[in-house]
Amino acid sequence: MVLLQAVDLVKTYSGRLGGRRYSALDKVNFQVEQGEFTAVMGASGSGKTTLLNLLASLDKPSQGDVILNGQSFRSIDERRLAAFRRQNLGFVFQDYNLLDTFTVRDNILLPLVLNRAAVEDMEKRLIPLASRLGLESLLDKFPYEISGGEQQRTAVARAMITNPKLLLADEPTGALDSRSSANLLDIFSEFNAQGQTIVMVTHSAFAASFSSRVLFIQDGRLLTEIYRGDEPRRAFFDRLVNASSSLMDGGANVG
Amino acid sequence: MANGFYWKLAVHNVKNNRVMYGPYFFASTVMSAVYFIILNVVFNRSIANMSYGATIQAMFTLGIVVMTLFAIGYIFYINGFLIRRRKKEFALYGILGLEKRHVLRIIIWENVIVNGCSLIAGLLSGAVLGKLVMFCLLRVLSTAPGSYYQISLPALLLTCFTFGIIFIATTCYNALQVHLARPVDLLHGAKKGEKKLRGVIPLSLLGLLILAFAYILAIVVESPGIAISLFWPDVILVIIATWLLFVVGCYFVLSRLQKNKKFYYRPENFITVSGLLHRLRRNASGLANICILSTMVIVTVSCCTALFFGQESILRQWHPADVIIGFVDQGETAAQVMQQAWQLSEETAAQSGLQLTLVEQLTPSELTSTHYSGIFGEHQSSDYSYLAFNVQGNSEEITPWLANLLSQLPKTGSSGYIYSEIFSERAESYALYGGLLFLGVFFALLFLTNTVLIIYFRQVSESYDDRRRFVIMQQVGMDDQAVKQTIQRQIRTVFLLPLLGALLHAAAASPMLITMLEAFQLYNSWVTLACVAGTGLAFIVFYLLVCKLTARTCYSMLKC
Repeated sequence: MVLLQAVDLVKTYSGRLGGRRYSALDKVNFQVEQGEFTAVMGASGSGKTTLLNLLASLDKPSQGDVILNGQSFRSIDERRLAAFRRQNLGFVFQDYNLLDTFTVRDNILLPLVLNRAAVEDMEKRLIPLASRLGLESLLDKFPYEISGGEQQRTAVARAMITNPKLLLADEPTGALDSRSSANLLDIFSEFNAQGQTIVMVTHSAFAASFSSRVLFIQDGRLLTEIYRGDEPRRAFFDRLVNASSSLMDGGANVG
Repeated sequence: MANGFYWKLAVHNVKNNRVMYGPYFFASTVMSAVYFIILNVVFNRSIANMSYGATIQAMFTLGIVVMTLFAIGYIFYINGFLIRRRKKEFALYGILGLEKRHVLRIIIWENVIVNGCSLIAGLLSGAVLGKLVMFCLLRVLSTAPGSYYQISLPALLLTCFTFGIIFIATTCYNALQVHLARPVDLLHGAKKGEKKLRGVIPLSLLGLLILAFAYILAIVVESPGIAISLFWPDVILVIIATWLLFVVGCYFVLSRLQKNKKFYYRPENFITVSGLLHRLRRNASGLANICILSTMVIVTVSCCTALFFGQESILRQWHPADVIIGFVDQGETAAQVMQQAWQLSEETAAQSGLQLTLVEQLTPSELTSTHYSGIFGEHQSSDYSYLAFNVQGNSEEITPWLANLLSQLPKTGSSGYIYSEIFSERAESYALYGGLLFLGVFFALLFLTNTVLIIYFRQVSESYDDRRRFVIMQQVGMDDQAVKQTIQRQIRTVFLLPLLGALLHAAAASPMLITMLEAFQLYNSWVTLACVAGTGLAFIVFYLLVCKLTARTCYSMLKC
């Protein structure tokens, strides 16, 4: 079943005072199946973050549309958009984006509170998720009291607590050391194994090698896609490094 | 490297930091201007020659002492605020390869520019506005015998000296900050964690108890003498209580709310409560300061206005009638003597274009002790007959007429007559209370400028943090409108708390103020109450206006 569809996505930015127009995305088409773990790989400036922002409904495309689970983003009223995002999408960002006014517990619960969930229900969801992510002992700490990896796991918990249809991740390992990165990506794979659909944007072949399919993007266009199949992660990683160096003039990063 | 380089860099920095330097510049300009004006009044010869001018000058000299202390404390406060914000910038200079002495030179130039300009602006506006201020002063004092505003050299030098010292001191402080700054620390020194507060419950209770005690003290004290001696201790108690309650009391209440899960985990309360908790912990001392300064403004202004507007009532306490003449007991002829005196008074008054109204005319046997005590003071031993009347007409005619009348009064018997008149005391009272009102207004002006600036700086620093939160909440799935509303609700609560605190303090202080002013013979408590209420209202309007304006400035600043 197709969960997410990007249809002819175009995003152009115009310079100040109607100067030179700059095209960040140029007719991007792709589909994501239910339960797929898709990585979008590209160098900086390739338009991958723009793409993710469109998929996240944080930005509006100049042309084209995004369809999630049969629902077109264009058909959603501006005022309903925030609620839609809250109920269907989960986000993980490069710089965690946790609120420092909240404890880890409250950061995770934020989307549920906004959805007006019952307090008992919150507890029921929080405890297993937190123990799975190794956050049980940190629940009452503040974001600035814990490490980067722990902060990013908190952000994952916040994204996952609503059981979103789609988990979006923008360079989730960008600010992490290699051990925390591997740990986080393992968590992603686990979620994926249990049926969670994930779209992750990254410039790192290592991060992308955890996915089941990689889309290469350059200058706002999708170049190609590579499926992992039954290949072990190591081999897939080597294939990705080769592909990216030949496709993108060494624009991709091995780490 | 040439000096011009540092100069250019300094000018550039000042321009770029105008959002922060602007208010600092404004504050020191206002302070030096007021300082200069008051000093000019102190050194003014024409005022010294005025009747009771000495009283005013003595009062203003005392004012200068208080102001100097205040200016030092305050300029250091804002300066510290400015320099903390810029530490990262200094670290960057270090990383880019500027040595500390180079950075130092930039800082010195910056301080010279900002402080030099503000001092010059202060002196200029002091010189110009001084004329206006002098005019108002003489109007308030109701005497204008050829006084004029003159800029005195000692005042100029003293102002330059005082502010020069303060500026040198702040420059040294900044230099020390740069010296202590280590680039690595600064670049990594992101957010410092908030320490867990300890002893929240006992400290909150202590704050409440102290406040209750201070309030009760202010309300029950009945003797003016005790009220005056208890005033400052009471003020200190209120300050301590305000601090405690802002720092731990708010934390206590909010963390209680946070523990109530059914209440806390609602969208409306969730973000507001935790946001408030965060803000209050970071700003508690600033908010307590705003509260205390606001209370000071309200109390100072209401006391001064109460004394000024109540001075007629004070004067009447001693002088039930404008002129009272008492004749030593003339026996059978007492009534006749008084009659003659009254006729004489009326005739002479008519010649001077004045009108007299008879208040009372009493023979010794009709005289009661109340008449005595107020009017004759110590002359209670012998019997007097008593003539009291009010005067209406051109005030300049009154003094010569009165002198003339007194010289013509029949001097029968050995001791003749005694008299009391209101006019000379009224002049003295205007000098005293008018001067007081004037100083009060000056101080209120300074307190207000400073309150406004604290509010401004608070909001600026808040809005930087808010912007980040704003973006995150949108990403998590809150709509713009809701985000904006919750943030505004928090800001409103944060800035309304000190206002409410100040109003409560002022209300609780008013019984004490009434009692204290009784020491100045102001027994009309309505005047005092009206002045407190009026000042409070004016202050509310002003405060809300300032909050609105600064909030708007901050948001427009962040948008671009």
